Amino acid sequence: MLPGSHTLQALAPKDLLKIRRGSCVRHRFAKSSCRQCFEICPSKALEWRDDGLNWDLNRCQGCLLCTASCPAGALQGSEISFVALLQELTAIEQPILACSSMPETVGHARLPCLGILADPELLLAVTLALGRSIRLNLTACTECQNAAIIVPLEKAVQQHGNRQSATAGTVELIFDTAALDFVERSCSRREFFNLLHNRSKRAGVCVADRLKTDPQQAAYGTKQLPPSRQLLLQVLQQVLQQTPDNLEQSKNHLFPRRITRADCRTCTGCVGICPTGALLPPTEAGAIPNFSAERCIGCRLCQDFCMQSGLEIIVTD
Amino acid sequence: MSKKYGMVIDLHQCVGCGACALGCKNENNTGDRADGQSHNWADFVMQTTGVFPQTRYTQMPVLCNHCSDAPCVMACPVTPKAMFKADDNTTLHNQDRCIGCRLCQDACPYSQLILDETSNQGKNYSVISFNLHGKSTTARWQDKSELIPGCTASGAQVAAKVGSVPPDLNNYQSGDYQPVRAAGVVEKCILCQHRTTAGLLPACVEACPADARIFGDLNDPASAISKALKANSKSVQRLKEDEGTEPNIYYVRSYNDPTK
Repeated sequence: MLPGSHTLQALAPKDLLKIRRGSCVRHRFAKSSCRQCFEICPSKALEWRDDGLNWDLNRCQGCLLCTASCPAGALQGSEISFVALLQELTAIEQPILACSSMPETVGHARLPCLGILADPELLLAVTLALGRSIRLNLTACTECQNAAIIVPLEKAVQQHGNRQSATAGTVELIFDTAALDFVERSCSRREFFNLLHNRSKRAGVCVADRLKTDPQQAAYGTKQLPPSRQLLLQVLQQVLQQTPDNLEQSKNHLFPRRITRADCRTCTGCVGICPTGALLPPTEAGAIPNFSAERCIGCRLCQDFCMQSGLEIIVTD
Repeated sequence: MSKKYGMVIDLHQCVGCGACALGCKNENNTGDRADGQSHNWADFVMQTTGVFPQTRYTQMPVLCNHCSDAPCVMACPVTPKAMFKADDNTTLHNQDRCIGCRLCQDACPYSQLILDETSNQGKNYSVISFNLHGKSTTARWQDKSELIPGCTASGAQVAAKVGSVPPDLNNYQSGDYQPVRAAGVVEKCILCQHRTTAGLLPACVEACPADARIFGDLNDPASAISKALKANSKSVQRLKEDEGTEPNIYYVRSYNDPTK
C-alpha cells in the first residue's frame, strides 16, 4: 500500500455504525419478531434482506437511534467513549450535553447526535455515574434533519424517570434557549492543558484505529454485553461499592428474572441462543442452565426459542 | 449440470469390520462418546434377530444422509444459516455462525438430542453431535491423571510429547470447517469436503477394505454410483424414506443374503 493511501485512510471518516451480526437477536433466531432498528430508522438506512441486516451508508443521517433501540448492542456507534465523556463531565455542576451535528449549540460535552441517548439504561448509567442531573440541549433539534430523535428521547427520559433510583439524577430535555442557562466551564491553566492533551490523545487513538484493518466478524458463539449494560455494571460496581446490600437490591430491581418450568428438557439450546451470555451452561450435565441476571437484557429470545416453554423471563420495569 | 454427491453402500460387500468408522475418526479428529453424544460421524446400526441356532446379525453403516430436503438446514435459525447446502448438494456446517441451539439435532430424523445406553449396542445413533458448552472436545488429551501413577503416561503428557492436541491430529484445511471443533457447537459429517474438493475420496470410502462404499456424482449417469444404483434398482433403499427428506445415501442388496 502506498504511504499516501494510509493518510487518506486515516483522514477518511470512519463508518458511524458498527454492526455486530452475532449479537443481533434476529440474526441468531430468524423467527424473532425484533424489528427495532429498522422500524426506528427515520431514513430507511437499515434493511433486513435474505442475508441479514444491511446498512446503507449513503442513506444514514447518523441519528444513532438504532444503537439506542437495539436490545442486544448489535448496532454500536463507533468512536464513542462514554467513559471519556463521563470524565469530562464530572467536574461540572450542571452538565449540558450537546451534539456535533449542530456545532453552534452550547454544551459541556458533545456526542455525534443525542439520539444515542434514547436508551433508558444508558441514561441511568450516565446519571448514576455522575450522581446528579443532566440536561440535553435540544434547542436546534427541530431545524435538524435528525428531528426524529425527539419523540424516542422523550420516551426514554420518561422511562428513566419511572425507574429512577435515589442516587441517580434526572434527565431534562431543553428546547428553549432561554431555559438553557449555560455556564461556561472555567478552568485553570493546568486543567486547560490537561484537557487539550487528553482530547488530542483521544483523537490520535481514533485516527490510529482507522488504520487497523477491521477484525473479522466475531463468531456468533462469542457473547458480548451491549455497551450500555457494560457501562451500567461498571457504574453500579463503583457507585454502590460502599453499600453492598444496596447493590444486591438494585440488581434485583434492575435486571430481569428467570423462571424455569418442569418442562425444561435441559437441552441447553437457550444457552446457545442467548446473545449476551445471561444463560450459562449448567454446572453439571443434565441440570437446568445457570442464569446471570445482570447479563440478561430481557430480549426474551430464549423464551421465544424454547419449544418446551421451559422458561420465562420476567422484566421488571 | 451441478454435482450431486451421494454414496451407495453395498450391504452385501460390507462385512461390518468398522474400518469406515475408524477411518473417519482418524481423518476428522472426532472426540470420544460422552454425555449422550457419540461424536461418530460414521456409525453403525446393529441388529440381532431370531433364536439360537436360527439367528441373524446385521451391522449397517450409517452416516449423515446429506438429504436434498434437509430438515437440519431448515431448522437452523441463524442468518446466514450455519447449516447449509453446498453447491455439490452436501450438507455443510459453519462453526463460526453456529450458536449451539441444537435445533438441527432435534429436526434431523437420524439424530437424537441425547443418546441413551441402547446406542452402545447399536440400537440408536446420532449423525449430528453436540459439543457441550465449556467442555473441551479433546479433554482426554488435557487430562493429567495417569492410569498407573508413575508408570503410564497421562493424556496431557502424550500430547505434549507429540506436540499436538489430539496427538494424532489431522490438521486439514477445509472451507468452513476446523479440524477440531469448538465447544458449544454441533458437528457432523461434511462428506470429507476437504478431500473431495482435492480430488480424493472421502476417508470412509478409502478405508473400506471390501469396496462396499461407492462415492460419486448422482447427476452423472456414467459415474460408478449411478451405475451401481441402476444395476441394483430392485434392492435400493434409503433410511427413513417416509420422512420425505430425500436422503442421498443409498443402500443396495442385503447384508447376509447373497441371492438378493
